[in-house]
Amino acid sequence: MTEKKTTAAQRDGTDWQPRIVAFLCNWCSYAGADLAGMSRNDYPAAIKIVRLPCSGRVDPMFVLKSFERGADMVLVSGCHPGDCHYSSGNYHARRKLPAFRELLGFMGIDPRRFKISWVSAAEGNKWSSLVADITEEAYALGPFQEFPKCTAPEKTG
Amino acid sequence: MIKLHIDGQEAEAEEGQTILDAAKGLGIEIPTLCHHRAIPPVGACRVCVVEIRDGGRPGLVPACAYPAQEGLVVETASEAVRESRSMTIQLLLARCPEAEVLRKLAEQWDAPPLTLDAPLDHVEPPKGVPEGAGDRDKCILCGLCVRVCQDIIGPAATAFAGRGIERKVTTPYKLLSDVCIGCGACALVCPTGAIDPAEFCSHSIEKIPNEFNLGFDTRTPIHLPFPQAVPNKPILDRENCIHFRTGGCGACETICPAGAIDLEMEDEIVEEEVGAIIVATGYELLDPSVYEEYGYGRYPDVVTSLEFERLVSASGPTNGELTRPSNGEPPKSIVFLQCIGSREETGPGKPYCSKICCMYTAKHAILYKHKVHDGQAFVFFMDVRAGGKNYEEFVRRVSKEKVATYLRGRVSKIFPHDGKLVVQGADTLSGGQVEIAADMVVLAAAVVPSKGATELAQKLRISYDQHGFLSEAHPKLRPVETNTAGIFLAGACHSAKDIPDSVAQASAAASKALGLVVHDRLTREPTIGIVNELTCNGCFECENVCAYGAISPKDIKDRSGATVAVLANINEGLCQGCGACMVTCRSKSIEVQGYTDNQLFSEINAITR
Ligand SMILES: Cc1cc2nc3c(=O)[nH]c(=O)nc-3n(C[C@H](O)[C@H](O)[C@H](O)COP(=O)(O)OP(=O)(O)OC[C@H]3O[C@@H](n4cnc5c(N)ncnc54)[C@H](O)[C@@H]3O)c2cc1C
Ligand code: FES
Repeated sequence: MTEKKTTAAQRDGTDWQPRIVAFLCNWCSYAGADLAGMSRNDYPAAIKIVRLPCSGRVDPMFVLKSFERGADMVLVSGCHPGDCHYSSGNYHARRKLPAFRELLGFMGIDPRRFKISWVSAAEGNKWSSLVADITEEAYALGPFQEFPKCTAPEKTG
Repeated sequence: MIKLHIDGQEAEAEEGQTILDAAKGLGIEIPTLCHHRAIPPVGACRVCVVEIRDGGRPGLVPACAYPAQEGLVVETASEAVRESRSMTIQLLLARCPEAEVLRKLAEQWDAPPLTLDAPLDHVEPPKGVPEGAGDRDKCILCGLCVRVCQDIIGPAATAFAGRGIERKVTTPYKLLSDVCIGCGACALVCPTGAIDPAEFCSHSIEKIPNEFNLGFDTRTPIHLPFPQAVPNKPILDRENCIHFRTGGCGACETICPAGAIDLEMEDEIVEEEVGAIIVATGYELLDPSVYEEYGYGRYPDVVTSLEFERLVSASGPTNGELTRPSNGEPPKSIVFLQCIGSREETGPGKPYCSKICCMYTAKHAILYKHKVHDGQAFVFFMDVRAGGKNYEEFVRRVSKEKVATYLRGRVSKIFPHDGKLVVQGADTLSGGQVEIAADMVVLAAAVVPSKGATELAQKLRISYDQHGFLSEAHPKLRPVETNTAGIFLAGACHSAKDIPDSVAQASAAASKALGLVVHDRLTREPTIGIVNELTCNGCFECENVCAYGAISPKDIKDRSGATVAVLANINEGLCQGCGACMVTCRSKSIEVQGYTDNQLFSEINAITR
């Protein structure tokens, strides 16, 4: 399945690959991704993971920063509601992040580029299919160029 | 101390004790019928007679009622005693030929049944006398039931009525009794099993199903939870106890010789501080009534594997005699169905293999053969998965030695016919349909986590999988730890497993837990929050989001001791480092070490390069 998607992009005559930044909580989603790896599941390599203690640690600025730096899609994933390792971190995330998503359009970012999901430590398979699905969607949405274009180039040195 | 001699041995007794008590102290058994240690004795049945030889007035006396006196010389099995006891038993047995205890006593004390020279038809009970409370063929008129109801429980629901051969235990006017509270004490003390309060109590008496035997028999409100319970002490089930329901009875408090029962006692919440927790909440079986085709719940002879365990158990409802729940007959043919709800990708079942069923079904086949030698056993299986030390050999023995006939295939339907259960299934190895007329069907239902495991996991903040089994921290490297420090897993709460695997995991969990608590100091992750006091302005938004109450105000004082600011302070012992406070802080004055904003922005920069 994964391979088909890559070839679909190549068929379009580009070798563009989406860049997806994922913020995962350590206890559920990161462990779920780890389990996917341990179970030798395939999933697209377009995703890059930042490990956080909890989905409640996700500062909306991380999401904006990722888009500014050219991410085509951003994912936040934590424990299922009720299962947060810190009991309520994902409740904060569940209230804060959808509200934040509403504001993305105002900033010129297609809200479809921002995903929130809950993946438990046991859901290795769910993780692989989630990544396959959002990668597919990122291909469909195409590269995200508008936002990075209008930001200042990164200072070097 | 009173000193006396019983059967040539010196016995001791306290003031108020009887000869019976003193004999018991020496281990000398004197038979009794109308005696119960909680009820004042009356010496009515006279099977306990003993002979006083010296130290008192010589002759036969009832041991249960005769006080132990200094210098008494007593014989409990002398010629005179034997003769008297044997005759008493003979007479009682003539009245109550049905009473099992009397038959046993008759055998023990050499009391052959009385043969009558003339038939007894002239003593037929007069007409118009309805039956009393007691079963005439068993009631020896000892009056224990009457005394317990009057003297111990209180309502006095029964009494003696009639004279001579009409004498019987009954309720006033032989009507259904309103005062009977249905406590069952009369039935409990009755030596011959002659009385059943359900027959004369005006309100219905509910039977309490015995949970340990999965409802195949009943229990009393005070009961041992199960035979090997630790501690091996009875518990009182308040929901069913007459005292807690009606305020009456309370007999247990009076009866218990150790004074161990206190009905005033309240439940209390005990708080303990611990350094480690081991979760071992185990498993249950999937309720197979979701599969209509097997008829579980509709046909009494279709049972689960766990119910079968109770039915063959020596401590089970039938004392180990395997019988059909429908009619109490031994099952001459039995069919075991494996994988009920296991390895099922769709439907109400579970996708996983329950792992233990292949082995216990083979065991069940052997147990069945031990109980029903000429019986026939069949096993329907999908695959026999017997991985494990000596496991394959065990299953092979069961099929090779023709303990059971293994049929590879599934059963499509079970229906009752002619007192049997017809089991229709496929035998995919021979490629045919099979139909077996069985007396009993045993369903090896899928193993599922015990009820409440998910709620417990949420309370402990440990993870669980989509089936509710608790998750280990790492499937290969940390198989007994959970993601939460200090909490460990053991047994079937983690996945279906048999006893050797459960014991291995439990031993590992115990040593992991010990490894944690034997140290004087706790080593923990350094990733906790730190407040930057230079920028914190003391808004305490962070305090609101902290799930651990780790943030509290701290007074910042100048040299003169005057408070100049109140800022947030994080308790290092309580903080778990989730970072919620950090995100909430508007002045960015809290950082969780190891996950600082700077570190994370650098990481984002690096992966989006
Ligand atoms: C029909 C059958 C036959 C079997 N025969 C064999 C056999 O011959 N050999 C073998 O090796 N294995 C056998 N097994 C498997 C064996 O039963 C299990 O391996 C074993 O019981 C697992 O032990 P455990 O302590 O993990 O769980 P359990 O035995 O299920 O014990 C868990 C305990 O935790 C209690 N509990 C649950 N929730 C809570 C809570 N929230 N708070 C407090 N207490 C709680 C439960 O009441 C229970 O007492 C058989 C299983 C079945 C179904
Ligand atoms: S720890 Fe996973 S969401 Fe909080």
